[in-house]
Amino acid sequence: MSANQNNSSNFKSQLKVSISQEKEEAQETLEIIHEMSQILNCGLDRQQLAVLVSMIENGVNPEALALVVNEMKTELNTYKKIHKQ
Amino acid sequence: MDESELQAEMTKMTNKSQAYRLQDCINRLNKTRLKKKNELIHFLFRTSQLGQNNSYTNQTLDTLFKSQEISQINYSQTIPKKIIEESPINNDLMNIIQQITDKGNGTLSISEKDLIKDLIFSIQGIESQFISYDPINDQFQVKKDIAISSASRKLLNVMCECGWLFKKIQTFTQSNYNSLVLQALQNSIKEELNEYYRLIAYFENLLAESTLTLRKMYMWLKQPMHHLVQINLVLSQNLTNVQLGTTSSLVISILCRYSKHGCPQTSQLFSRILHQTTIPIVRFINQWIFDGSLNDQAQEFFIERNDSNKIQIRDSGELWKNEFKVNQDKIPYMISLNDSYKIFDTGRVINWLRKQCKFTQFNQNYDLITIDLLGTEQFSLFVDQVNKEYNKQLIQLIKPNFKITLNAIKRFLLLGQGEFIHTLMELLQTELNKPAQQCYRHTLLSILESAFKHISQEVRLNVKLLEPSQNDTGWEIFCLDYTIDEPLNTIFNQKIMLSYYRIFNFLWRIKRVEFTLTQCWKMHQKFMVIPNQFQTIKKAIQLSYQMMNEMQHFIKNFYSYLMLEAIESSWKKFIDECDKIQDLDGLIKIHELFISDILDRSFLNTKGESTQKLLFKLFDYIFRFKSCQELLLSYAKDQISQTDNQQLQLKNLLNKQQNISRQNQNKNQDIIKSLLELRKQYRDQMFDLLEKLKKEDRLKFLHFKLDFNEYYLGIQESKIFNQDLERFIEKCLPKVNEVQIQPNRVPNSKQIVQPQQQQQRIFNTNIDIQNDLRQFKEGLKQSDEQRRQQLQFKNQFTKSPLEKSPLIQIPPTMTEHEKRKNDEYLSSSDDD
Repeated sequence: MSANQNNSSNFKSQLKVSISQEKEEAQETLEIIHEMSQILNCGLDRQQLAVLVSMIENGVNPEALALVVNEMKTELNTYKKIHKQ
Repeated sequence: MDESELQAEMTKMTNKSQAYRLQDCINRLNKTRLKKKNELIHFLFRTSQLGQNNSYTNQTLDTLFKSQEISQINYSQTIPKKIIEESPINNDLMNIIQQITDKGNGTLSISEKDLIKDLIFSIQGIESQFISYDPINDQFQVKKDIAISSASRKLLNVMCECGWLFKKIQTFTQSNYNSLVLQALQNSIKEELNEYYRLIAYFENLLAESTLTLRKMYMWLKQPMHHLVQINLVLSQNLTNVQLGTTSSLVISILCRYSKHGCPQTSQLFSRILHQTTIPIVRFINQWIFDGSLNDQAQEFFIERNDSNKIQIRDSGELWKNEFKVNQDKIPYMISLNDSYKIFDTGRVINWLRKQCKFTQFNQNYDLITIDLLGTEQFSLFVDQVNKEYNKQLIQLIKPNFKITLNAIKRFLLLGQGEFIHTLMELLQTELNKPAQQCYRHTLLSILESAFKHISQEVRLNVKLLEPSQNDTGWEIFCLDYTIDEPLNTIFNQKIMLSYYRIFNFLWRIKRVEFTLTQCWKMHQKFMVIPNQFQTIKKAIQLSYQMMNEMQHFIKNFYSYLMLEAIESSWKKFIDECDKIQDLDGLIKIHELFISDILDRSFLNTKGESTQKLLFKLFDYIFRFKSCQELLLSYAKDQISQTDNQQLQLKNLLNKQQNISRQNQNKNQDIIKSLLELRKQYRDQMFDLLEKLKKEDRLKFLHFKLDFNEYYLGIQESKIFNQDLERFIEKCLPKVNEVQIQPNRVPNSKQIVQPQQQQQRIFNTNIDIQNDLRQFKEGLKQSDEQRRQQLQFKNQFTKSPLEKSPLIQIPPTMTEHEKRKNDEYLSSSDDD
């Protein structure tokens, strides 16, 4: 019984470990991507990037997505311009 | 995006440090667990605003959603694989829409021609530019980043399936197989694929002429695809089998069934394949039927060699039965079980003939079997014919030898040649009477050889000595043996020879009993004439003679039953059947039947065990009788010789002799007692045997022969002949007691004989005499009384002087005869 419990606890701890590991990894990945976007001057912050990356990972076509993003940016810009006005 | 593109892109960047940083980041990214790294990088490049223009996107969308003026789409940011000039991009709305809605990289504009080219590669199972092999899904797929309509994508994917099928088939055709059938299959499939290649060449031709479209290709590929699908089906069914051995027959069976497919194209396809594939099998069959050889490396043929090293070539019977065997799992579908057995038999016959009989000339009047013949009715007929022919040859070869051997066995092992057996027995009897350990084979063999001289022929007989158990004399272990060599070893194998030995043993035993009884008879003959003085001995000898006759009757009848009903009838049946047989198996069978028949009728099998025990007991009694009789006759001899002496030396030996005679008589009684007991036991056994025989129908005749006047039945029922000694003596020798009581009366030796007889006579008449005497005495008394009365009466009446009165009567005088009689009786009465 104790062995079983140990096992289960191990498993749980492993799970916890893996979950925390994953979180760390995800953070790291996001950092890298953020850096790249910074270098490339994409103008996207971390949150936006997270969403976009997840969309791409899920199979969205990056070309189309890029188009959409750019469009939305310009829209935003025009909005801002209009608002400012 | 490829590495090259990336490099190109990065070289465009002004800031080198940035480029390095970017590189670094990309490296780090590659270590992460993102799946779509390339897409991500692509995306980032697209969304970057590194001073490059981003107007195109804007404009594109503007045109799309706001239907403004369409500006030239600028592709300069991307690095297309193809040169832009080549792709004829119309400023058509539809085109743009299409390019956008087509998934993938819109920049890569692909013409149909390219696709077709790639497709041609892919239907041969080769990856190409746009069509890659997806190992995860195990299919050929058009690459996802290529902008083609979904419809054409679908079409392409469908045609790519062709490529997948092709690849699978090719892996089969290129693998190495041991089995000939599978190799044949590979060859035939390759030939079918040649058609396919031809089609592809045609496609390429058309492509060069640029009249080929996807649709056309699709239509063209339909039929080949269908074929490929079928072939693949068949192959998948085959290749799931692990054992290659069974796959051969499985292959052929499956192909056979598919060749009867409803769809005519499929059936034609498979009949072609089947045709090719059965070539090895047909070759095997031909070799086997006409040559008896088996060259089967991969063990695909349904006849296989029974690989056991125990089978020696010179072993009897085993070679025929066990050298080859039919493996029923491997019989192909088209050959029925009967035919396969016939084929097996033919080859077996040839093999056997070649090995055992050294016979190599076979008539080869038959054409070889062709594939068309296979699976038709003519095939069975053909196989049947060949089989019959070879079997006929076999039988022709064997028959004369077989008949000779069989006759010889009958003559010797089944005691057919009577005079030989008789002489043999006479010569051997002294040897065989010794205890079993002292019987040596060479002595017996030499005697056997001398017996041969009585017959003029040279016979291959041998002496076999069985295992002696305790108290066995030579008789029990002696056995004749007939040497048999190839090829008849197959028919007369060990087991059968054992049964022959058993029958021989039994018959030999009976013969021995008969022989014993004839010896008894011989002994009897010396004592046929016995002087009348030895009544007991005479009666005893008579008794033993009776018994001997009884036993002889039994033995003779039983032996004749065995010879006639058991052996001869089975023999006749066997010989009749012999002429009808057509193959070796049948011959072996009827031979075994013959032997089992004999065993059955002679009570040698397990069913008749009890009867056999009874018989052996009877034989035992007969042997004991012989020894008893020997005793009796030696005693008789002694007696007779003694009494001769007695007549010369009388007085001196009187007392002694009387004692001796008493002793002798005791001994006599012992012998008679034992004889009577033996007779009783013997008769009991006989009765048991007869009871047993009554129960079975076919033994009724034997029962009748043995007891035709119901003698034994009568004995048991009414017990007429009580076997006690006293009664016997009483019946046969009524005066024995008398004689014993009066030994002292005899003073003279001479009178020993006579008074006995006299007294016998006297005794016999004495009773009558006494009766008569009494009567006469009474009669006399009466007559006396009468006389007295008459005298008194006379005295009463004689007072007158007249003496001569007429009234006086003289008493009746006796007649002469009466007088004589009276005198005699009176004199004899004095003796009492």
